[in-house]
Amino acid sequence: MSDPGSLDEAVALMCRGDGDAFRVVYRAVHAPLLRYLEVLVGPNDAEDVASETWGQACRDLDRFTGDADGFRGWVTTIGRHRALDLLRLRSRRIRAAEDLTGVDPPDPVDTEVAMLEGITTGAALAVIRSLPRDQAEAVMLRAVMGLDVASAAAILGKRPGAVRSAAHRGLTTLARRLESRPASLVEVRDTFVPPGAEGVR
Amino acid sequence: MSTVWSRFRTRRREQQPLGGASSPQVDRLLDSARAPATPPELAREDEAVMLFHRAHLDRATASKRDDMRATPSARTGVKAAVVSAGAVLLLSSGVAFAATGHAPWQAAQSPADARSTATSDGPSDDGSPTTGPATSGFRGLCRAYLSGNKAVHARALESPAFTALVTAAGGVDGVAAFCVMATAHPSHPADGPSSDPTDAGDPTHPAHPSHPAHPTHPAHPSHPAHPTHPAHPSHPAHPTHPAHPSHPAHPTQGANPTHPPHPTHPPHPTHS
Repeated sequence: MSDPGSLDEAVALMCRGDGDAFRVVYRAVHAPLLRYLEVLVGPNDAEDVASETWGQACRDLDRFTGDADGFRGWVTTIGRHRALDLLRLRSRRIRAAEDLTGVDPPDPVDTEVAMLEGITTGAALAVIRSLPRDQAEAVMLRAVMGLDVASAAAILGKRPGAVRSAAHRGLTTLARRLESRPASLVEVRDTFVPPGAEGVR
Repeated sequence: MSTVWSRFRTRRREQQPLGGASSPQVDRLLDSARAPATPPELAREDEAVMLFHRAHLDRATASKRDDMRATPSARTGVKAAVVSAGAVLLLSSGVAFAATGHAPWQAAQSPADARSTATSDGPSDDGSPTTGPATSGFRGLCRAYLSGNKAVHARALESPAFTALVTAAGGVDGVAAFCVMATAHPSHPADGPSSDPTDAGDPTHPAHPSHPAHPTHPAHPSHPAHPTHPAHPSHPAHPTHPAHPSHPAHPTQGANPTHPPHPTHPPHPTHS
């Protein structure tokens, strides 16, 4: 049914309780999941949400049937629900206390600086996070995690057309933002920065 | 649900084009976002693996329970058995048994009992229906009883085959607890004959909470008597095995056996 050594096989073994197979799956699935969650809830809480997600996935694993792609979609859906729970909790807290401490909103200014200093993964996620949420999610699922439209639509609970459109708008927005900055700066940063330089001023 | 996930496909398989504007900057950004996992990102891997194993164990346990649930009568039976076992454990002090008289094999030896001689060596107990051997002798019946489903239990106990069991248990109501005790330690038989001088203990003195119901140190055959209770048993009526001269009584030791170093009061010393 699945090729030996493939992630599909690992998922099948994992579903039968194989801990080593779980490790293989985890290593393949966790980082993209964590990054998607980071786009949703910010870097401070993404780890915790991811842990909750894995905990629930492990508990409910007997309800899952599918291959590696299916598992990716399934666990991402669980993660999204956990993340949205946290976002709802936050907004309730904010309304109740007008207290913004601990909240982790996107910060476009930092994003710009991060971009200039080099595109780390975290910086890239921060830039994506600065998009409206539906666009950010669509970009993550489609362009970063590589899910197809139908899968992304299932995760997001939207129609495929809406997801396609959101991803398109998101990528277009990103392109506009990145290009609105003088390209020369990026090029300078990328090409001529001496090792150890703190960044372009 | 499962059909949805099995239809999942990623672009890497379908190679479908991703819509949206493409620019070198965007491509670089997306490449960064797709970078391989870093060690910090995988720092909680072991924690996740632990969750996985625990969840798998829980599921395995739960699925067994579900199997039981498939037959409600069996579930009831198991419940009854579990409750009985719990009751037995809780009440293993012997007080309850003193009240019901169901568990004479629990009889602990009080100083007053400690008059037994080495004749209290296991085999001498064979004839006493109210002592340890009684339960072990019923183990087969108990297994049959416990493995049957509850609906059958009531009728089963009316059958002649179970009469002796019911009698030994002190009544129909006592059978479950009796059988839980009888089958709780199937590995014990080997120790039976020589293990416990207290088999001959007086069932009329069963209430000695200081005597654990489960012998954690079964006697060694080479020291059959543990003659901490060497006095005469209150039921010396079965001296089929005469005293071992090599293990003479030590009445002075037997005088204060309230905390024996080796709890020698198995719930059901066996004689297989």
